[in-house]
Amino acid sequence: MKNKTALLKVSNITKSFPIPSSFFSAKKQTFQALDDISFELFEGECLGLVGESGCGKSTLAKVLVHLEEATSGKIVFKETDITHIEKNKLKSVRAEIQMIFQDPFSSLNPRQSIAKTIQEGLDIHAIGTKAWRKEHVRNLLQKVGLESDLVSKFPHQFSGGQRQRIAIARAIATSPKLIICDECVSALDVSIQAQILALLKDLQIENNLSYLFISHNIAVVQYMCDRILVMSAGRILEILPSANLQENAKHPYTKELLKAVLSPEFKQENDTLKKESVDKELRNTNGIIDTGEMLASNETITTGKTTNIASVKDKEIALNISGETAGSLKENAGLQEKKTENEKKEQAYTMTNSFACPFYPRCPQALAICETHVPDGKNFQLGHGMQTVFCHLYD
Amino acid sequence: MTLLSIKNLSCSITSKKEKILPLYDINLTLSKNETLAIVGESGSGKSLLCLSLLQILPSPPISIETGEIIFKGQNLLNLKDKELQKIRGKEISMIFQEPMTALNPVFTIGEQIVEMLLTHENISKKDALDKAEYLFERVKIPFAKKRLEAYPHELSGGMRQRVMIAMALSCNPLLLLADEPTTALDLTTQAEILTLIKELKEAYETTMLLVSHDLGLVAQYADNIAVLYAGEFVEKAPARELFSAPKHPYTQALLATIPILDKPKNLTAIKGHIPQGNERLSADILKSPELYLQRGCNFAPRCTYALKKCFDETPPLFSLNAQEQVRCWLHEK
Ligand SMILES: Nc1ncnc2c1ncn2[C@@H]1O[C@H](COP(=O)(O)OP(=O)(O)OP(=O)(O)O)[C@@H](O)[C@H]1O
Ligand code: SF4
Ligand code: SF4
Ligand SMILES: [Mg+2]
Repeated sequence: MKNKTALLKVSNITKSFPIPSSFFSAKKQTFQALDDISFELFEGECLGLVGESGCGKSTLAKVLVHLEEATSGKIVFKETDITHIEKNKLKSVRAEIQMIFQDPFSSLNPRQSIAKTIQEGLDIHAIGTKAWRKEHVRNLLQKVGLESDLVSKFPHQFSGGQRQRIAIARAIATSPKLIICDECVSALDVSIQAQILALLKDLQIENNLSYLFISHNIAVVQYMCDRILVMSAGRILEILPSANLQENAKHPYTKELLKAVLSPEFKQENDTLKKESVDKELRNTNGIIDTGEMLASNETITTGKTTNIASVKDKEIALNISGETAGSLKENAGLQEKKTENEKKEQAYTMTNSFACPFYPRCPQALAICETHVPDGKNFQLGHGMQTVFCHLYD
Repeated sequence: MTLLSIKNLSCSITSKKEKILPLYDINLTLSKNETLAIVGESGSGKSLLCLSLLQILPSPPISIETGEIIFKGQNLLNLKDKELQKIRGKEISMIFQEPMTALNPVFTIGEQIVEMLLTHENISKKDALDKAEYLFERVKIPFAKKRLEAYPHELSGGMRQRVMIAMALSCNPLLLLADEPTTALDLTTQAEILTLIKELKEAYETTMLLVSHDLGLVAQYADNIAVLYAGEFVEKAPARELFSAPKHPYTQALLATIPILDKPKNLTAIKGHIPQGNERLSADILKSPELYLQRGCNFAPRCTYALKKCFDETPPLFSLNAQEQVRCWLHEK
């Protein structure tokens, strides 16, 4: 990408939903599903969007294709403001911004033949003659790797992977500039997932497409995308190039997410031989923990946490639970405390969205300012790209 | 010490059209403290394997045709319902993919866990309640006492899964079956739950059969791995071998389809699809085994190495050494 032209420019988008008032109080409250979202998507780019469930990924997708209206902010597509577009112009925008969903079955009309499904967009936008449309549909099917004489079949006659191909054929039928893929391979088996990813990549090059590629699977997003947006609780926390994420990620939340990725590789530290830990040796055979031994083990395991272990210990013995160990007990009791603390904070947060940084309740590096002041975006040059981080650690 | 061994287990599904074998000739052994993972794509038979161990298969249409399931020296398939009930939930327990299906929505989770303890253990109601609270603390459920009064729908997915784990561990099972225990959860919650399971498994010295479609997950949490393809094991190996030197073309192909974080590579898709419907093994082979031998390798239509022999003769599981087995003619000795 030499000269980057912004195809889509999103500025300060917010979206709030009313919370049923009985939930918390009589006072009317709103839930902020999207909070001050700004980013650009360049022509020919695949932009990734990662985040955990409920963070607002799908709401953002819906706002972009006008299935939901933004509460405030601005969406500019091909230099035209489409934020509050009139109904009659919406049609032409929809032809250019298409969407592919997670579940190819529920997104396809079961009573409609494949031909009709794919052709629908062409009909709505009155593209081409009738004969041309028919031919075009057959070409599209071939393009997505399906036999063109399947046109008269119905969705239930296809497998999950094939249905997703049909959904892709439908999405590219109107020659869009941008396709929003919302978890579009998440429901597929890995062997099929790779086929669909390859297809999306080929189509991107052939048709100069741009994608907003939404997924919870970070490795897949990295494979597909040039840049990645990291989202949590309705906010963008980091925007960064997709290469070398573990090395380059700056935001504590991004780092936490990356740590949770499970790679299909054997890691030495998981070797069973290594598991001969202290607690195993100290384990009692008859199931009742010997107090003397517990104290001894407490000395060998330094947890540095000041939790009253005695009460837990008594319970332990009374209940006669076998295999318990002092070390992990003590540690758990400590963790428990921290967790409870976090849980309280999180609960407070989910009720009011009251923290300035959404990661504050869980952030190991949180500062006092993080509770009350929304961090600004800080830019960093990274190779040829730009990284933006919303975190007070980089103030 | 062997805790569980499954010998020649086959299950059938009967429909109007046909009778197929979703699991065929399954053999495996689990030693005490081992974590054995069963991996396979959707429909490969992973869940059925778990359900047949507990004999809670939906029957009809599914039934066990042949085989033995030896647990602590006795064949579970010969036990009466009453005897089985004692083992289920007590010595063998299970964590399901979607905890909501395993929890009863109309009872509080406290009621459910106490009920379970009372059935399996000779303790008073008061002690059961105490133990329930303790278990909740053990699986790191904050406000344990208060949470006992909650109904399943009042908890988040991660919390529900913790409840499931608490229940599964409540009677100190010898064997824990975990069928996709974290698939329904978020990435960071998944990591928390997996660490918790691992920790508890080690503390309680539980043996685990971990079922997953996620090769990344099993790489991090299993000692040994068995790869299931359309109802048959195609490769069994220690995690180290399976990921550093996969032997079966299917395992190799599967690993080549998965992107790895920060290790850019080209993904190679596997052509075709998993055998479905009448492409699956027909139950006829139970009566005439030579039909099975002539069927050929069930991965052959998708395999890049397939030879003529692969289509005409079915490969057996070849043992490469004491720990590794591969069902592929390329490894014939
Ligand atoms: N109740 C049922 N009736 C009919 N067929 C069934 C039933 N349950 C499972 N099957 C079939 O048995 C086969 C194995 O199913 P199983 O649920 O064990 O797969 P799995 O490996 O657990 O897949 P997934 O990853 O999707 O959970 C599949 O072909 C499936 O369609
Ligand atoms: S802003 Fe503060 S709480 Fe948020 S991630 Fe940065 S350090 Fe943590
Ligand atoms: S037996 Fe033949 S077809 Fe089957 S996996 Fe081996 S090489 Fe491939
Ligand atoms: Mg399953």
